[in-house]
Amino acid sequence: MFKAFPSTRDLFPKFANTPTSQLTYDPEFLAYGNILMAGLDFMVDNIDNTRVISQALHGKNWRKWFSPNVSITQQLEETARVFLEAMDEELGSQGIPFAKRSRETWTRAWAHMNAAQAFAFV
Amino acid sequence: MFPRFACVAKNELMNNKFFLQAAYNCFFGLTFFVKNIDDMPLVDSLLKKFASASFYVQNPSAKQQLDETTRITMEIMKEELGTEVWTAEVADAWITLLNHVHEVLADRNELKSLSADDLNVIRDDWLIVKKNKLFGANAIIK
Repeated sequence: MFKAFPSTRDLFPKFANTPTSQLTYDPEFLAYGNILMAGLDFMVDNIDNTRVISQALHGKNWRKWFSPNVSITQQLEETARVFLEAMDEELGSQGIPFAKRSRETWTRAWAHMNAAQAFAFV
Repeated sequence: MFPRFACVAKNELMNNKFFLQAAYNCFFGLTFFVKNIDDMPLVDSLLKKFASASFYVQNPSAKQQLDETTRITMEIMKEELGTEVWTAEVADAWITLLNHVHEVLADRNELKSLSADDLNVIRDDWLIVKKNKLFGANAIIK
């Protein structure tokens, strides 16, 4: 998200002076990555019941997770795009092509997940 | 779907500003369609932006919910206009418009429910991806 929306980086003031190339060596930054993964894990587990996702997120402080300079909807859409790109790279690095069928399914899955998040945050 | 007034009693909804805001949004959408009824490509382009799963509950399907919305809209229009104005011809015209609106929305891929096969694809891919402990951190940097 840092490259897609540079202002997202302001959400992580501790790493303001850390070069991007060094971030994945910082244990605290890696912990944020794990938090993101835990959140995604929860959403994937409940993808067939997105109401659970909305309810879990409702009332949470959106300022912790979204840059105030860009609309939340836009950031959610961009997150989906970035995630699909990351999936493509990750699967590709393991010799597994991100097939058209998978991409379409994940695109729809993100539409559902983002809808649930939008209800909670927008 | 409406956490801001999910716990508000039905008889209190008309005094709830979030409920009224949702109602105004709905009315604004209908007004836009009616005003631009002679420019359907414009109407369709706006409709496609509204084709979000966030406008629907999990079950039944989006198409079933849209059909039910048509039924309710027709019922309300009839109540509001009365049988003298709400003739069969008027009803036909409205149902043609609403069916078109719903067809455009229901055709959008994003609204289609995830099948059991889709869920398997998602969960299989996810198991592979999350083996990489840096995946989350890399995604934040992207």
